[in-house]
Amino acid sequence: MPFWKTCNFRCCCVPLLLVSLLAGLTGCERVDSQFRFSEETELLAPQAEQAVKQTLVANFGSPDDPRIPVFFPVERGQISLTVADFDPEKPTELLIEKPDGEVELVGKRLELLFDPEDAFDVQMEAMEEEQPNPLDGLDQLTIAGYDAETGTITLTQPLPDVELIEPGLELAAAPNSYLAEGERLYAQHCLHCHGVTGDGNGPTAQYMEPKPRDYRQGKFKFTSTGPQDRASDADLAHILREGIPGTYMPSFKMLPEEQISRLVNYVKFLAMRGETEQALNIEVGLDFASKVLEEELEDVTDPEEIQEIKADFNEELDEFILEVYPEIALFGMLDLADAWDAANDEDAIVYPTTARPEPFGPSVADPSRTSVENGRVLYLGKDAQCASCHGDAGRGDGFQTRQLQKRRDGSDYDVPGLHDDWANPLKPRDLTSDIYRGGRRPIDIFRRIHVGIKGTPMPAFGGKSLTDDQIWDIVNFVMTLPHDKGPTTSHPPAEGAVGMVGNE
Amino acid sequence: MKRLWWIFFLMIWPVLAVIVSLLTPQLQWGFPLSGQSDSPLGGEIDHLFYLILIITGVVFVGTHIALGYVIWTASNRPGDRRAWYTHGNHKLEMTWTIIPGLILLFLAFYQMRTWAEFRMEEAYPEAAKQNIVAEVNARQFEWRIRYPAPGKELQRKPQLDDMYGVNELHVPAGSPVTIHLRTIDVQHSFFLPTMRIKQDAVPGLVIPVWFEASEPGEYPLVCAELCGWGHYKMGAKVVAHPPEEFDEFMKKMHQAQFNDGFAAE
Ligand SMILES: [Cu+2]
Repeated sequence: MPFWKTCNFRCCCVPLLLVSLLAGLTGCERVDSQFRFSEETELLAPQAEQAVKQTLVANFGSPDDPRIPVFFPVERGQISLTVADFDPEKPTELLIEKPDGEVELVGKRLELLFDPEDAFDVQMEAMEEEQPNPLDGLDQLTIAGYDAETGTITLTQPLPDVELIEPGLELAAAPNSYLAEGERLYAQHCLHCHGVTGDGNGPTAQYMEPKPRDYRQGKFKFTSTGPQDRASDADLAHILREGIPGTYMPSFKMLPEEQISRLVNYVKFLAMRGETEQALNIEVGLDFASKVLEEELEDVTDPEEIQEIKADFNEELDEFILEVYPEIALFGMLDLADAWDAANDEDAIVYPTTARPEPFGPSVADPSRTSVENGRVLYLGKDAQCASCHGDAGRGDGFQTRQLQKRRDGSDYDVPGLHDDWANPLKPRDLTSDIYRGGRRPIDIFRRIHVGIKGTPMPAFGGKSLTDDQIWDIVNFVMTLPHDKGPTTSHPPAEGAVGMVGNE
Repeated sequence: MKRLWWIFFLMIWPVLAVIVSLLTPQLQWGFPLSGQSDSPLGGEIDHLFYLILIITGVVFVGTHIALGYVIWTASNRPGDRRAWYTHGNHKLEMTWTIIPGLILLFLAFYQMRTWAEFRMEEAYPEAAKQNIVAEVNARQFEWRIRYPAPGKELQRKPQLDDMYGVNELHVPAGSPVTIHLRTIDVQHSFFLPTMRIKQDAVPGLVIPVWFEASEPGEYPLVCAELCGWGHYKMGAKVVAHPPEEFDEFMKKMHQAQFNDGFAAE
């Protein structure tokens, strides 16, 4: 009898095989492939929650179909077209100015690029007259046919008869193709840490210290732009190429330029989506979080009164959503778009106004000392107070790391030490470790001090507490810290010496 | 039915092996085309590879021919005959032990010089020992590289004027160079597939590895030791510069490394 027909084999191995097969199937955790809404959104009153979710889905789509309003400064990869003529008698036809070269248009989604404020006015007007929204359903517009001879586009659905559709109106076919490409690359390279939604909560994130960046506040640590500015495209691309030493963020230098820019694009898209959600939550949540109603009902026992309060709340909320909310949503997004736009402005980038002096040459800020010496004095001094976090010897062990810090709402954190804006404990950099997360060029370290590190307690010193010459001295001092050669070997005095510096 | 086994052993395995071996270099399935290695030492390693392939190939095909012969002749015998026990043939066993032993001994001596040049520090080419270009630090999941300032020698400890890069190792083409291989976390392996160089990076050790890019160009550098979930991300490249342009390139790198952003205004 062949061995596979013996009872032993059948009794033990078959179930074992089945079990291991099943284990293999269930062992692979399915990754949720939808954008997740933030906790704050879930805590809004039901109608408000729905309105915010609708805004997000309508404007930013889903990972399978990412989209973004045209006014956001993101390269969407659209095919740009222009309306040559539109006859409301033939609402499914649109005459376009013939594009250069051959373009494949059939089957692509078509977006009419109205001026957002004009479109808003048209919709609000219709609502005031209690007419249906004429622009409803335009996001489903698809090109059914294209006659290259005449430049006529046939559409899958009729266009509304509105004045907005006129010669010269810009159109976008396949409006978000770069975002779709970005999504694929993101899923391949980034998603497992940074998460589908960009909330820094992907499946591998749990193994990481520090935590992967949560993009949804639009805060990126290492930027060349001012302290209040967003990150520029170049900043994000730089981090992708160079990685962040000392963290799990690796270098993606081997990716072609085009893929890097698609990824930067997609990361910005996720940040903009998250920031829109956050801004709406703040605006709406002030009056219409579920908590607000609960608080109002707290000491009320009379059932009639409860009904009344609830009815009032809901009435107010309905009115708000109908009349105020659309404006808040649109102008919130327009502001956000402006802010991101500004980060790519040449003026937003911080450059030093003076050159870096020789580390062991005379300091410009205080010619009686060498640059490194003066840097040390400033490092320990009262203006910069570097030592309070980074420690007297630069080991990242200043007294602040042992003190209980306060949350933004005034309560104490559970553990002593510094925290980032996401309430994760954070260690000040050990400056002797020779690891520079945001880059080790003098200009990188200069900018860390000048504009600070966003989302962390590292403040911006530039233009306020320190001059550029002083910052250079600190840069020079910090750069010599990991090396035991040179004058810096005589390490600063022990703890508590912050006040002593003035006596020198 | 008995003949079927004969076909299986004599026809399918050896013929398939020979066909695949002949086709593989063109199909780029991993066998090197002769003269295709991107480094001189790689050529020697390819030579050894083919030598061993031919020896094992001849033995493999020969064994199958013998096996086929035995099956063929045995299948002619009447089926009701009983098998007999034999203690074996002393002479035959001596022969097939000594001949492979001699072949192995030959290979051991024959490859000694190449292997020594590849792995034994004393046997490294003098030029490679002189020309230590960089320290390569493997880490999860990238290659961080430290170069000495132009005109200086690489020091064990990082220096103030060192230069840094990631996932791009710049070397001059046409001469042997040495890198110091380290890892800052787990075990990795420095693998230049087209130059036939592979060396594990071991925690706590600094391992000198030398190689020579024959021509200027870009060559793949990958990690060949499963080092964690991001192992696949450890793809990088070696950039070999024309020798006359290398010094200039390193000077530019030094300028970029110590850019203070002031001139940019
Ligand atoms: Cu590795």
